[in-house]
Amino acid sequence: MFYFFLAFINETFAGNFYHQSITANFGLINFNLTENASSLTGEDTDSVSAGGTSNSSIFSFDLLYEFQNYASHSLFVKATGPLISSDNSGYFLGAIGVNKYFNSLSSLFTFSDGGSRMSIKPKLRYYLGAGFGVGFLVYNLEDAKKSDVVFDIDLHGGLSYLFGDRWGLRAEVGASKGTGIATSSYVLKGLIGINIFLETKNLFH
Amino acid sequence: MKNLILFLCLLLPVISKGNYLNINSNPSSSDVFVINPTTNKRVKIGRTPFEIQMQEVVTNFSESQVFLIEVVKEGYEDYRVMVGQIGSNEVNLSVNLSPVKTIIEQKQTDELMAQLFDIQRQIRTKDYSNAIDRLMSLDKKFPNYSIISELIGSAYYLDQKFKEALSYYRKAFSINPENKDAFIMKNYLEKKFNLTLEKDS
Repeated sequence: MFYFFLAFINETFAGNFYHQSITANFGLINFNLTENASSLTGEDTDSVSAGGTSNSSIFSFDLLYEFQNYASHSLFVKATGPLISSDNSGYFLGAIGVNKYFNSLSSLFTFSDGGSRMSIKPKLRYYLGAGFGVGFLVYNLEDAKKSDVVFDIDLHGGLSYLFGDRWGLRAEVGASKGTGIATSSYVLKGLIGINIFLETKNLFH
Repeated sequence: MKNLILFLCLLLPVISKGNYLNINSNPSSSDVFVINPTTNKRVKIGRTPFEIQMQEVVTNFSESQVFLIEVVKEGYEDYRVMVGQIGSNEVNLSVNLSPVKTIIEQKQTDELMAQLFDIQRQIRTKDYSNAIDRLMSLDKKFPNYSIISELIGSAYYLDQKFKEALSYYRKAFSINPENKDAFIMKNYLEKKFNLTLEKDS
């Protein structure tokens, strides 16, 4: 009987008790980028070319899959893509990272033993997280539409509340720094969505 | 963006609330106790199905963040599990109590007796073949009951298969040397056919 208790009190012990989860978020992503000076190209004019900057807000979709959960933190992979943009710009991202949870377990915990079953549902969770990924930016300048591949590092935080047995709402804000081949960008995000605990459990025991 | 952050700040106090401990059991109406693992103080807190706020258990009963829950019912083995109050978590416990072993054995013996009575009725109606089949499967399930081997022997004897009958009477006697009927029939058949264990081999 102490074995399962060890699973949720020991932060590094994953076992086969924690459920994976998936979160679908919608929200606003605002990026502000500056083209790198070395890659600036301009038309052949009499005046010196100025550096390009772009600022855009995109209504985006974000899918987060937490595949490995421990008592207080989880590992995730996520994908972000644009849905609606006023100027046809776009922000695509694939990232991997870690979330650190407070005030509750990181995920749904279930344990079965000889017909008896215990489940621990995290009701209200706050979290902070960090991620690293590769993104693709499509941005507009005054006279051109361009794109760039960026390496993105982000920090984010939020909260999640469980309404049903397996689902809840999640809200997140974050900021990231992207360094690309041609650009340097800062991104702010505000997302809200639905979080669902899956039947499947941790990928690695 | 500002409006979203403001909404989140307003939402926090609204949705924060106490955590519950829900306990169900099969069978229901089982007593629930809380035990402090350090002092071993044991307090009854209710009967299943049961719901209580975790903070109430910690403050009023266990006096510890980590405690044992014990579910008890007469005729069933006690069930114990360790639980801790860790943040905002709802704990649901569904306990399947196991009957104590003597009750299981009594039920099995009761089932065996009912089947043997039915098989005896079959033997009386001279349905020896089906009766023997049923007795063979009972013998696999209850190998330590000499009565089953004895009854197989009787069925073979009534069916005029004396060698098979003798082997089962011998088996019944070896399982339980105090089985007088098996002993008498074993000796009778051995004398009738002039058989002993040495002669058989």
